[in-house]
Amino acid sequence: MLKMAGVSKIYRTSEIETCALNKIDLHIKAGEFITVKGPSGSGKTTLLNVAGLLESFEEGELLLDGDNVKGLNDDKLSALRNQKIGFIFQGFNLLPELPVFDNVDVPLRYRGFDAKERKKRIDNALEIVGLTSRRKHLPMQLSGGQQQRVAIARALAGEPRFLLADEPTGNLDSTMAKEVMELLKKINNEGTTIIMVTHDDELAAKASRSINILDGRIVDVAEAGKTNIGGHKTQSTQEADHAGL
Amino acid sequence: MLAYNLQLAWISLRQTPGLTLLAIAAIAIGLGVLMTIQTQSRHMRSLPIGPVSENIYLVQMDNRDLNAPSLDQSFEMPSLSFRDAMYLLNTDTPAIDATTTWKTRGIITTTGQEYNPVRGIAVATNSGFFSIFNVPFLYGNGWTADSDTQGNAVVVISNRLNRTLFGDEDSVGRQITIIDKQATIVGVLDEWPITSQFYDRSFFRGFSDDIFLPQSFAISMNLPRYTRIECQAADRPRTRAYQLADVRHVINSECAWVNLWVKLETEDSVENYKSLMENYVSEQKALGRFPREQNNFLDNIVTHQNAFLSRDARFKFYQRLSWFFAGVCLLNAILILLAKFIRKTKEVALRRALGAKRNVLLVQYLIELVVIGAIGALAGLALSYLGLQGMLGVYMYGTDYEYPLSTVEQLYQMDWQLIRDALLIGILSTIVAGLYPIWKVCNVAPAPLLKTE
Ligand SMILES: Nc1ncnc2c1ncn2[C@@H]1O[C@H](COP(=O)(O)OP(=O)(O)OP(=O)(O)O)[C@@H](O)[C@H]1O
Ligand SMILES: [Mg+2]
Repeated sequence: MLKMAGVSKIYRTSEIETCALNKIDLHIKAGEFITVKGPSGSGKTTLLNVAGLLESFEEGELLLDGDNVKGLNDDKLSALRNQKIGFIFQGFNLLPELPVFDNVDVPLRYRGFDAKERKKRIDNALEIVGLTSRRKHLPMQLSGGQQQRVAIARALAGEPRFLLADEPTGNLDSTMAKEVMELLKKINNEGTTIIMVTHDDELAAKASRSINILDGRIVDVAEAGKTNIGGHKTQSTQEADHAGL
Repeated sequence: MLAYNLQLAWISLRQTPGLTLLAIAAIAIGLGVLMTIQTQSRHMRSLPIGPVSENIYLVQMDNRDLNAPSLDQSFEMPSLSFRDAMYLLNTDTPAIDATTTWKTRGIITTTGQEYNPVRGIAVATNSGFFSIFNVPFLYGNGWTADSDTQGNAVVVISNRLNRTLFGDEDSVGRQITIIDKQATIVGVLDEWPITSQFYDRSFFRGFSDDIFLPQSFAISMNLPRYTRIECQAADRPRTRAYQLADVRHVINSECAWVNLWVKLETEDSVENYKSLMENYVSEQKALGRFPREQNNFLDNIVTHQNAFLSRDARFKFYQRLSWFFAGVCLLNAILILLAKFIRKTKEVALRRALGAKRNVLLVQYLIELVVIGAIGALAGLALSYLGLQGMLGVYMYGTDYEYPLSTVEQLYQMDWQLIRDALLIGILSTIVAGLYPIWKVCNVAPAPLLKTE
């Protein structure tokens, strides 16, 4: 599904260079559910953005469904994002002037579905997240958790093959968080590949694989049911984990 | 997708009502001023007496002295001396109609009526004047060719003078006195739809002349030559005398003061007329006249009007000012739209992340610009309507409400061309103003903007 080989992402400002991703090697197979953990500033969001073709990278190769994305023009990348990838951003990133229904509609519009198809998908997605009754509300008329769920509905409506979720449960209480997790697991079971950033060990335990990153490097991979491949957690990652929370 | 974009445009306009209104105001004001001045200037440029303006030519032959500066434009060239004008008027030429004009003035009184004398401006001309210029009559007619040759004491008066002296009654057959000579009114002009007094080369816009009388009569009465008289250097000190003293002096001089207009309908006849002028000047040179090299002009009314307008400082000033003003408004609109669209970077980032191609978003914002431009153009049209009404009011006031509104109004009317131009310019200039802002905003890198709420 997605293969990263030696991918590095370096942010350059006039004063400093930040190596947000440092020679990442990652192979994600179709149908996997991967969680990403790591302290604040370790490069989790950057990893998702690069994997989601939202950001370019300096070194290495990235293959999506076997196709090298290096050198694809902007329009092709947009189309790939639109068709294959669903984003749940760290912030909700809803359009404040549009009601819930229209927010979920945004990616579908660029997909070129007809009105009937869009309505079917939006209704379906809103039902999944339990917001059917709020479809005409503006984002500011919703609670934080509800907004988060609209963002999830928006990502689901396109039925993406690849879902990138950046702390989708960060704004939810633990019951709601579990529900969302169940939802994601269900979607995963139906065939969607998921990468999810989370700080929650409990949630991470439900994934098929859990990745730990630190300073842009994958330091440690844990597969469900197995012990950590990289041995035990280092002291520093644990501290940083707390800092990140 | 168009409906979606229109819907988004509408939502966006309501999102930033202040900036949107400012942008619309900048466009509307610039356009309103531009359209008002341009409509005016289009009316100024319109043919002075309709299509026939292109077929009526002013005859000019350079009879200045050797030291005079060389001229290559008819506009600066003097008219004709009396004898040359008379020769060309009375010989057989390709012209199908011709007339001479010059201006005079005098105190006008009526007999048998208690009335303070009025000063009137008169045109000394020929019977051909009324036919060549399609002059409409309210009462009576022009005089006959016989009156030209016999110098009959007949006059045609304007409806304005008729209103002043006779209260709109049919005054044909009544007598008026010009200075101290009596003349019989043979005709009263109707409203004459010319845009300016082209026939004396002044292109004056305002009252029509009061009186038209046979040149032969004006000369026999020794009416003053209230007109530019241009003499060769030796004669120049006598210019004032030529205007006011015995008319016989100026008639026999080389000074130029008579306008000769000829109507020529084909290119052949224009060419033939030109060679006629050339032959005539050659003959006269042989007799010792026309000291300079041949330099003749045969330009039509349109050419003369254009030359006049291009020299009219006020006309040019208003033209330039309106463009400058529109430019300032456009600059303003650019800044306002920049401020408006900069706020959309987050939206752009999100839509791009969700798979919108850059061009799709550019189109979305272009449509928003078109909507703003169209609203701005409509508001601009409303402003130029007010502007034109205002100028109409000023004009009516300036002419003492003398002219019927119906005839003057045409000059200040909005027409389809104006509406089309305004919409086109309004929308295009909004796109021009907004292109940089939307281009800039559509080229942001989406990822960094999506991290924070
Ligand atoms: N646009 C940018 N320009 C410069 N540096 C950046 C930019 N975006 C991120 N960085 C840097 O890259 C590093 C990784 O950032 P990233 O957003 O991926 O962290 P994160 O793991 O998602 O953290 P958090 O848990 O707080 O969301 C950070 O050190 C950050 O300062
Ligand atoms: Mg992050």
